[in-house]
Amino acid sequence: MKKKWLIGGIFIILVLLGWWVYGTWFGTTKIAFVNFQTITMGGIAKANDNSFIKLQEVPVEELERLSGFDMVLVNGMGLRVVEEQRQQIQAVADAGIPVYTSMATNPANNICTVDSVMQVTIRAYLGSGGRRNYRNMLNYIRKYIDGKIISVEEPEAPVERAADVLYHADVDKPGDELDFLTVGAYEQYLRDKGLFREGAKRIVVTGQMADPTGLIDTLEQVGYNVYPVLSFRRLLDFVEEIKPDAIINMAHGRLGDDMVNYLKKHNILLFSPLTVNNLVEEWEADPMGMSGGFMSQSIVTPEIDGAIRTSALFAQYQDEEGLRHSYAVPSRLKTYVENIQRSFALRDKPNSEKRVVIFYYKGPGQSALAAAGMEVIPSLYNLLKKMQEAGYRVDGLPKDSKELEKMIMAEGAIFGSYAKGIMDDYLKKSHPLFVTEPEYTSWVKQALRPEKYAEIVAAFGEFPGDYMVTDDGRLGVSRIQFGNVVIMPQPAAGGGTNEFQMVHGTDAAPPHSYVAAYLWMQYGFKADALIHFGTHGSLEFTPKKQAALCDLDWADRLVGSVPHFYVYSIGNVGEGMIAKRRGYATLQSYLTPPFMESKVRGIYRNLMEQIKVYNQKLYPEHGKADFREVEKAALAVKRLTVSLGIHRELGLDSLLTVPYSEEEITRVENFADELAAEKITGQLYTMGVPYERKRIVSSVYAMTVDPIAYGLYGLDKLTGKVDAELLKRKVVFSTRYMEPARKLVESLLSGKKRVDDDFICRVAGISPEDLRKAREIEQERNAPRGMMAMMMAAASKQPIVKNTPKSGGMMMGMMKRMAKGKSVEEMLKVAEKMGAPEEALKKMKVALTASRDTNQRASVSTMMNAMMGMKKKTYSRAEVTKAMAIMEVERALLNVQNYKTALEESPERELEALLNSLEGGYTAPSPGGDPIVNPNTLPTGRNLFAINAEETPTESAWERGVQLAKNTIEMYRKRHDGAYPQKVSYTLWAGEFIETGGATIAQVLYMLGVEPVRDAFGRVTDLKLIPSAELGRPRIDVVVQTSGQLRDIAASRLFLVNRAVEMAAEAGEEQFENQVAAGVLESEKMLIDKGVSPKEAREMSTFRVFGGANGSYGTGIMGMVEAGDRWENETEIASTYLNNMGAYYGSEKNWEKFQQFAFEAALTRTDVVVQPRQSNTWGALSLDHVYEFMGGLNLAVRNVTGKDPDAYLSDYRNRNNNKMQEVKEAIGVESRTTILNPNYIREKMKGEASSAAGFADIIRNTYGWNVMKPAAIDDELWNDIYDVYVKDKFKLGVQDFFEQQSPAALQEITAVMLETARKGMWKASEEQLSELAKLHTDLVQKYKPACSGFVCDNMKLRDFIASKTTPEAAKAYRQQIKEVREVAMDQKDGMVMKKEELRQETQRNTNQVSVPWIAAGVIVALIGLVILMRKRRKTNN
Amino acid sequence: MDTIVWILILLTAFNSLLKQSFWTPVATWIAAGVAGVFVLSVWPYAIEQSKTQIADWLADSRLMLDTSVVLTVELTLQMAFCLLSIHVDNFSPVKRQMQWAYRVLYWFPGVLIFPVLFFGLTQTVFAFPGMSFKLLAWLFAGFVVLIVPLGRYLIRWLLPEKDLRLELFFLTNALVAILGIIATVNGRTAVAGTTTVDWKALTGCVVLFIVGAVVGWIIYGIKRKLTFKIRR
Repeated sequence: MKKKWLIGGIFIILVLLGWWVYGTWFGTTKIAFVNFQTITMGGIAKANDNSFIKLQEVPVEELERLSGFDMVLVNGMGLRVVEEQRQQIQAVADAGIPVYTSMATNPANNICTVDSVMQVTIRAYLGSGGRRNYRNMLNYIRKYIDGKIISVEEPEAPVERAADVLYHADVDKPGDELDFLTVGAYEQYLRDKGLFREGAKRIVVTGQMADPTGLIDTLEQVGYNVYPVLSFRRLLDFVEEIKPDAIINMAHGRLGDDMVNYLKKHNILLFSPLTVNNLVEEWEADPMGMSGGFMSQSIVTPEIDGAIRTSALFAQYQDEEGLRHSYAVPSRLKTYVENIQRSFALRDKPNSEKRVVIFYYKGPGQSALAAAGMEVIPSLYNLLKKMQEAGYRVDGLPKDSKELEKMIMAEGAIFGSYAKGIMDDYLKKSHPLFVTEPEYTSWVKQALRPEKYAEIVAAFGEFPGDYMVTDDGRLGVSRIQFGNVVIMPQPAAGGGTNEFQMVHGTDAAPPHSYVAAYLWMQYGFKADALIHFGTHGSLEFTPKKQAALCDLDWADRLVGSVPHFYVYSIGNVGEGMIAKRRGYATLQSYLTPPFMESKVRGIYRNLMEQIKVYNQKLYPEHGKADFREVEKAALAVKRLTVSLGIHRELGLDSLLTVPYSEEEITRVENFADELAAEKITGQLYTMGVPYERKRIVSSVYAMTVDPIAYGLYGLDKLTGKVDAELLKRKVVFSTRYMEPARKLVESLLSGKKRVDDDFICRVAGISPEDLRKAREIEQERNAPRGMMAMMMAAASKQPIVKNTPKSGGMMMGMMKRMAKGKSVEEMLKVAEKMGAPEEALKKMKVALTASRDTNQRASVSTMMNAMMGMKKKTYSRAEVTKAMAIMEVERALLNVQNYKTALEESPERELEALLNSLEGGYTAPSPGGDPIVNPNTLPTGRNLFAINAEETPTESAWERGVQLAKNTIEMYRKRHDGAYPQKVSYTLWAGEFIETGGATIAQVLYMLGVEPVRDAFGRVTDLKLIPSAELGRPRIDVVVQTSGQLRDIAASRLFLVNRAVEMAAEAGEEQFENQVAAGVLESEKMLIDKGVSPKEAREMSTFRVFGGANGSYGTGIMGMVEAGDRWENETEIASTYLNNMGAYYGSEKNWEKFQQFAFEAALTRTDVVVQPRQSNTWGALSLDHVYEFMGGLNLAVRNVTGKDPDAYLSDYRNRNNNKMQEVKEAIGVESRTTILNPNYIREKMKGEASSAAGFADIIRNTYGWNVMKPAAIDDELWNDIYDVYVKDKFKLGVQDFFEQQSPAALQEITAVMLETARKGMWKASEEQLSELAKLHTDLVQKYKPACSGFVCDNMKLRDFIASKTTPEAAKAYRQQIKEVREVAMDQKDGMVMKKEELRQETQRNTNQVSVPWIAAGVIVALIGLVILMRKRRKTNN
Repeated sequence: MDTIVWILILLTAFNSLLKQSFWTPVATWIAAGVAGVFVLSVWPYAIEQSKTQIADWLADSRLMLDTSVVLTVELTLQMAFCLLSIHVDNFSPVKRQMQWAYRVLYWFPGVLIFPVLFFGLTQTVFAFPGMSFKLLAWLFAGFVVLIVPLGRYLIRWLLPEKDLRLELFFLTNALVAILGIIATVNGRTAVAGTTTVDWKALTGCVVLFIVGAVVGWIIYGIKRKLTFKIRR
């Protein structure tokens, strides 16, 4: 027995020993790779031909797995680990597993346990790259580090690869690559192998982030000479030698200004395909597509170089061992290469043969064509004319734009689904395109995956659906064909029962009519180019991904491979980015309307005079003020104020016996001055036509007077000549600074004065030394971050979005190649070329020299550490402020003439740029914003780009944001007896985010008492709490309602906001109250009460960032608000709003999560709603989205909290004087300077149908505001509108204008006013109503119903109108409408259901039971029972 | 409907305490410990329940019918315990089988208390938003561990006599049984509510009640008189 045990024991020991021996000397070598870029990883995996070596990527989230490996390789470049994860790596190293970390940008991450000789060897293998080196590295690790004795090859020494090379697959040795140091050698090789095609187009492929083999092969197969370049330093040299016809840059980050100049000079295209850092299937399922730092470096920065087609081409695939490889997705590759071919075809094809489709955007019925700030039809006509002149076949183009307008109204119309009658009429009598089922099916097969088509069928039924359908089952598509050029309206993107979301997209598929139009463009008409004309259409707002679209995104499929150009307003860069990224459009910027002064000073002259008298009485030049006289003057001011109705807008009383205080009169004075100084837009812009001369001048004034005045004021403030109080007295400020500045600009415009340094110093009252220093500071602040940007690019290759292996190797390789074999001087030159500032260069030199002395070779790490350690020269706050003021003045003075020239030349340049694009040329990049906010947007005709969201809020944006947050609090406290707001709910849009550098985000952060923390590259990657004592006030809770556009371009900033909320909520006991913590608690309570589980409620209680459900872009509320017969109570709108905007966007984990009640809970305790405003081209009344978002939020808050919140606009329009303004006051300023201002009306009346539609828009928006915030609109405003547009108070001939240019607009205006009255929001007199009804019905009778949805789809309104007119007119009116509608649809189904749901909700609420009473009752009953029994016991005893 | 359920829950809790009053202190402490452990082990599930979810359960007639089976079994057992107790206390010798049945019934703690505890925990969590769930669970468990022995002590102090407690136990169980029937037919009888009152029927009902009461009182009086006479 014992023997048996002994034998058994020995056997086990032997087995264990054998296992240990095998594992130590013979077994598999398992190597872990942490944070390696997919392309590097793929290269290493491909190189591994040893079955005893196993490679595995380990994400930083799974570092605990490292203990099971024989060696750990970490790419330290941009490694982002938290302390706990760092400790995990350290623990592995401590346990004796060899760890090698390369290129650690953070010294704390530099964990290395292999000896220095091994380090040098591995660094050499990895750094030089290439299959041979990788293979040898793996063998080296197995043999010398892991110490195995079988299946080992003697590794060869590392082979250095030249830093700047062209390369090509070795034809003779498949799988290998050959490097070429010169273009000549490369071409010779191609010739030798018969691969070179004489005369063929040349394409440079550079910045390899993924394996470009597929791309290169395909390009060669279709007949191009491809030049793959591995070089950053000599890229431009190579390019200049190759003289390519296009460049494909796969890299992250910018190529730089020199490259932009090259592209401009040679007029060649720069393509920027995207590498998705995700597995194909994960990416296709991801609603974001791409975001954060990865998106910034992949999309945003290439856009600054003017790169086009930033669409996804490369994605990851996983091999059997779980390793990922990044290469071109076959279907994407096909489309991408086709797009390149088509772009080249535009260069080669004669214009006469090019087929172009131009989409315009138009409302239903007789509504005018719409584009922001543009008179569309004349602009379109000018383009067509220009194309005709350039040789395009534009046959049958009418003789003028008026004729074109008639054609469009007759043939290129679009109809609401309610207008069945007129639609049938159109299909029978006009000449639309008819699409048959076989045609449509064949196009669908080519463009859409079956599951995608199934979405259309699910939403709209089988082809052709029920919209624009002929009796024989064909689908009608509106279009007008002029030879090879087709113009067509963009069909409605929504449809069916959900027409509320037509413009900004729905979560459902677009209808057949929409898809058919685009597929016909691609496959039926076979367009060579696609143009969307004017800001903006709906294609880019179709669902789903925000960027890096895939084959399952509508926009991707509908544009296909056709080169796409989008004529876009400089004033709307935010939405422009969506058109670029989701529609693959090259933007062609166009001007805003010109700017002018409101010229209302005359209207308020008496008031101003009286205020002057008051001021004189209050502060007499001699002696003391006579109290009685002052009071008398104050009462006189008050009388005038009240008679002008200004007291309502300012929230002042109207009691004429009690005078206003000095502060109140100052407010009135400032208000009147603001009215006079308000910049309004003039006649709508017509593409190709310069502004009138006087408008060019007034625009230049608008662009330059403010900067000069505020700059000089800033300088005076610094020298103590004036104090900050002066700014509060606008009239004094105007007299002292604005007027002289205006005169100065006037003299510069006349060309009488030459602007040189002496002149600038004289004007600014500064010395030449001051000027020199100011320039130095400006240069320092704006120093290009070329090197930084590059390094940032490397770090940002971190897939911070997805839980996937990290990357970073390309930058590392680049840096190594740059450093390799270079002298210190050469390396410094490289850095200089890349934009490193002088200070940084000095530091680099010291570091590199030291490094070389000790190591004989400058290591990349040394260089990087030097760069990392470099700091900007620091200046005091006063020095910077002074420099900024000086530069503001200098910039304005120097550019007066330049701005004038740019405005004169832009219209022509726009058309030329568009024609150049149509010929395959390059469109130079440009920032966005209106010219007053950002004059750099001139000249137009350029491709707009945005900013790098990761750097926001910028330092200056932070200052502005802090100031505005303080203003918000101050304003609220003034209005509420010193109380602090508990919660402020913000609406944030992309436009102002881009144009202010994220000041809007800064406002939110500061409100919470949280500030940004910047990393070495200037990115805001972290946050910290501002201590309560320093903050000096309670932390105030926030909610952010984001537009879809901001969500798409700056998701990482939204995450930052939500993180800030969480940090503030957890701040603990502090000196001041923590409203954030209280708000979170309240939200949790509400959520629990609403029926959310406590666990979820706790998670959701910190949710503070919300936006459109299903990734939509609009609130979907405008259609409902404007369909006045579909709602009776504002609660219905609030409920829909909360539903539509209730998707959470505050974290990646819960991205787009829709959870009922979350938004509602977040909005509890809201005291203020805030909406930023950064453009001079729109205001609360003129832009519908303001009432939609800010008004909608206001309404939602009112319904959640039961009280109407304060509503403020953050006004960023004057960059020198940002301020907060109450919305009613803002509406007052806007209405008085625009729709009620005869000068404005006169100016707009110079325009045509689009201008007329502009009036209707403003009045419709006034109705919208009235619904959303009744307190902001009063009866007097409607009465004024009535007097001006119905009674023609100013005798401007407004009705003639409308009848001539667009009767539809006046039909709309009268209908809106009648609906406002019908819904009881305007207490109109019977006389007013009958007058309006008469005008409306007369117009309908005379010009037929324009038939917008507002009236044609609102039965109650039509009945109301009919009831206010004569029986005969009513009968005729009804008949007219009937003819248009013919077959009325039952529109109310959806709403009825909604109402039923609401009723159920109410019932449920009334069935609440009072639990404590029940408990008390039961306890009393039990006690009673016990007592009874005790009593009985006593009795018995 | 909710009212009845609440009453049921409270009565179930009371019944459970009442049952404890028949046990030894050590057994009660063990029972309290088990209840506490139960609370601590179920809190992760309790925080996942929402008010609407619970309301849905209570409104779910199928679930309620299932519950009624459990309820009926439990009540039967507890009422049987009352009857057997009287039997065991008053008759001797007691059959061995009877003795065993009594022991089993005596130590049967009741299972309905567990859903009641779970329900109590959810209500506690609902009532204290913002507080740590774990802390709440510990506090509630602590409360349960203390209230069970305390409740037992209080009941025994109020009603030291076992027979009275048995009677009360029997009565409250009977009450729970009646309420249980009402609660579990939810969805079949309580759906169609009415806002009008049938005054005629109501008056008839009241009259019937008064007549019955008077008749009962008279019978009671006569019986008492007769009894008195017989004793005399």
